[in-house]
Amino acid sequence: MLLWRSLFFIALIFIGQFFARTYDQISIDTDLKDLSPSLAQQQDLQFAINQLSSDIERRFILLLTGTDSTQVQQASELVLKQLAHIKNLRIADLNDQQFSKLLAKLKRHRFQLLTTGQQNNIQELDDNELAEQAQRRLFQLQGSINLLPFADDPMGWLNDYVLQFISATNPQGKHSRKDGTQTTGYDKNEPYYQAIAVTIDHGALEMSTQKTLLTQLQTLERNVLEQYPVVIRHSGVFFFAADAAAKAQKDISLISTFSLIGVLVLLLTAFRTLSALWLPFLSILLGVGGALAVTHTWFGSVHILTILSGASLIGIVIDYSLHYFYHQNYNYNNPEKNKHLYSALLLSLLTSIIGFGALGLSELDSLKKLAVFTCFGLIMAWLSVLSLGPWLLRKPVVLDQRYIPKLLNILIRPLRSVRQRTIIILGLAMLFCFSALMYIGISSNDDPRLFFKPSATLLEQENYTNKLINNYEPGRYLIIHGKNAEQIYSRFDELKSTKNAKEINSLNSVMNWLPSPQQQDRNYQIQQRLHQHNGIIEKLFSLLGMPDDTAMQLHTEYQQANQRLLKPGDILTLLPGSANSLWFEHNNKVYSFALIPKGMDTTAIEIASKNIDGIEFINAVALAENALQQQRISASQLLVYAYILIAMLMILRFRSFAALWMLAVPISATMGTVIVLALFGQAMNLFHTMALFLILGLGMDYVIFAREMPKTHITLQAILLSALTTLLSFGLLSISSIPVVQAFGITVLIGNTINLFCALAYAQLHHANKETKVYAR
Amino acid sequence: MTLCLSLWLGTSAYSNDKTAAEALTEILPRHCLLSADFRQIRRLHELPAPLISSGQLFFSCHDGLIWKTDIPFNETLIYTLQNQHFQIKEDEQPQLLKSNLHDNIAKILLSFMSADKQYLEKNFTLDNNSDGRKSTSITLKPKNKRLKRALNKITLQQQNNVNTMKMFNANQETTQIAISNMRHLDWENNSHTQSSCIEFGGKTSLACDVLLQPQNHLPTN
Repeated sequence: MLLWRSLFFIALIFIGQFFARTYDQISIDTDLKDLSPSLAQQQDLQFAINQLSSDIERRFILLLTGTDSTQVQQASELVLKQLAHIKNLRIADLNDQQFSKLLAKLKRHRFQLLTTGQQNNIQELDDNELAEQAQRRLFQLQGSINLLPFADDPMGWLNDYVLQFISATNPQGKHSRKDGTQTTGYDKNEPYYQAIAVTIDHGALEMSTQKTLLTQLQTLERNVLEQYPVVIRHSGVFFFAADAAAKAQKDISLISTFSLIGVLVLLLTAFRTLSALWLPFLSILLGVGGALAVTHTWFGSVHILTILSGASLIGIVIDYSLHYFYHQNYNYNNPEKNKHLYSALLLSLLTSIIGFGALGLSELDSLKKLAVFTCFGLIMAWLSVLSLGPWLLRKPVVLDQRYIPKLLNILIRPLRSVRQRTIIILGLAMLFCFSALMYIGISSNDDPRLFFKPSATLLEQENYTNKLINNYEPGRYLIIHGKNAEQIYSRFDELKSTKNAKEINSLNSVMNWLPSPQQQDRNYQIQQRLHQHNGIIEKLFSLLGMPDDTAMQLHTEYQQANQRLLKPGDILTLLPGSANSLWFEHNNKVYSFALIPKGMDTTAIEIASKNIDGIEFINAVALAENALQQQRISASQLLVYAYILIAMLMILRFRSFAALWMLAVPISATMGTVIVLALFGQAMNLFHTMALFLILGLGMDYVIFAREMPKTHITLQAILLSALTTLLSFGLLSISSIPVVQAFGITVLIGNTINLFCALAYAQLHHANKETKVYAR
Repeated sequence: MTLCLSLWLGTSAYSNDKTAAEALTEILPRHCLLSADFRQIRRLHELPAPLISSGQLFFSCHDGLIWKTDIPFNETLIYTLQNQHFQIKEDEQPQLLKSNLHDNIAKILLSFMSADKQYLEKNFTLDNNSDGRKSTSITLKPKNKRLKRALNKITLQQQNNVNTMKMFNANQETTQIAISNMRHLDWENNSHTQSSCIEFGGKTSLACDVLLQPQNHLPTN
């Protein structure tokens, strides 16, 4: 006891310190990516993918539509003005400083940068034609808008290149119109629109940041809508994540409240005194607090789904208090007899830890966190019961003699008449059905979209926005990798040559905006004829009456620019939004991403990419689905291992192979659950499988107490009460709006009901056998 | 934007007490169909002599603008209200202009010609520089930061029946356009527009065809 109490106080100090230190910095994660296993095996590639995903997650679009172009324009100006006051947000557009830097960079490399049209012109036209073209441009209307002085860009090529570059890298997409005057023809009711791309600086998937930003955006939208008759729609991962987090939080609140009320009513019914509530609630509080402290310290944050699933910890944690109450109370005047209780409590904890610990073997971050959260929660709650129990239970509590025993009798009565042979036949029938199911194949659904059900409104807004502007798929893209930039460009060109040039040209890729190193060198070389003595530039300048030294200065700059190359990484860092993550270099490897416009049929690109080395078509949803399937299968195998480990523990503890019959309880519950789920047409997912671990843990808890404790009726009352509290807390998970949590709840609801009946049956048979043996002696 | 100059030909007495917006209203065009001659003078600080060009323009409030340069090159630009813009060099076939630069220029020019006061007030800061009865002058400074990077300001001036538009770009280069010999017509119907356009363009009926039916001249692929 001294050991447990010492551990309890050390843990208490740790929890106290954790909350004192980080009470205002607890990070609740809502990143759904955590729930999907890593996409790539290569560390560098995974890093690049994570960086890209992070940039995509940070970006969202506000779309304003209306019937009046002026109103739309003015409303968007107000939005921009108010967005500027929100600290964590940035408009994803080049500001003046960024533009100056970008222009200076491009100007430095102007002899290497040409559009395809300009390259063709240089190669197809003779000197006189090129000179005439440059001269003609000077008189044209568009010549009145120049970004660079004439002496720096006499042909106007860099000017045109920069305009094309900015248009192509525009985060709102090539086809978007910013002025709100474009008639789209898409929606006759709201023909005018304006899209505003926004980037979140940090915490896009953090609940506290989401809450703050959503409140700020709601205020902003309210202000705009009060003044202008426009419609504001959203598009972006941020809104879906925030929606999922809000739903999860609503679930937590709902489940916790009902669970708390239900457990409270049950406990008051059973013990009829408020003082009996202290131990369960302190153990729950310290169990959840300890779980949170350890998980947060270990992983740096806690996932919202971990907390949600962890809320069901209440159901298990409370079991320790209940058994303690029932048996401590019964043996109040004879503490020596409590050895049975402590032994059963310890064995119960160990089996639960083995069951939940197996979740830690998963590759899913969320399940690892859940394993840590649950195991440490259970340990802390267990220590709390053992350490605080004697202090809180100074006098015996009056146990309910009406409802719980009556309910127990109702449940046991039909079991009394059941013979051992009937149970064996039922067990064999169940085994047959289960085997038949295994043989036929259980229907499964590993779609990662089951992790949350997005609201119809958000989906409608997302689709509407995607039809209007050139948005990119967040989960589908091409990765081109190679030893160097030249190889990347060459592979991209190879892809273009597969009759998909039109689609490839519409991809958001640096290869579509910036010439390859080889092409940059060629561009430099083909301009040689402009800068030679008596070349085009000299002729043009002479024609315009410019001093000779102006041409000489340009020639010198041309000579100095020899071998100068503009690297994709250097230019992308100067662009706003997610452009920077499109190019990644590490350990002599280069990775480049090409984003796919939403709505594009990618079948041809996908097929073509398979035949080119170094190009991979990434479909994050398909990959995650595949990985989740592997995880589900692997988890099923882990469940078998968990059963084997627990079987070994039982043999060690009871030094008898007959103890293996104890496992019949969770095994029956597991098989029964799978059969019932199949009968109701539920396709199995990873979370159904994970819930089977819990069924194992709970089933073992019941059967251990049923076997270990001498007073059967008291023990069965404790088991019934604990099963009811568990069914209440897990049963409530089945009303969750999150499909996977719902799957978890339904599975435990079915499984634990079977657990309860099997444990009661086991107790009947076990004690009947014991009495028979005593009688025989 | 040049064309807006033409608009204020018909303006009469002007009071300096008027606001910039009122002044703008006065100088914007009041006719749906018009044609005029233009003379453009561009000054680049590196060049010792200005670049001078001239030609004719035709505007239809239902279709768009034809900007036909005769000297020193024969070239026609067609800016349509459908946001499709074309160039016809010498006697070549029309070419679709895809650059955003043309979109911006077309937007400004067409907003002047169609007297889209709302657009101008929205996108430019107006400043009245008029000098009593002697001249009417308005300065327009772009509000849009992208446009501001290339264009500092535009001034519109009406003095002694001479209408001038001057654009100052970010490199201290200026483009001055003078509009003269304005001919106003009232819009009757499409065929009237076509005949007026052909009359204006003489032999260049191709430009009129492009203006009135741009969809027939779009690239097939």
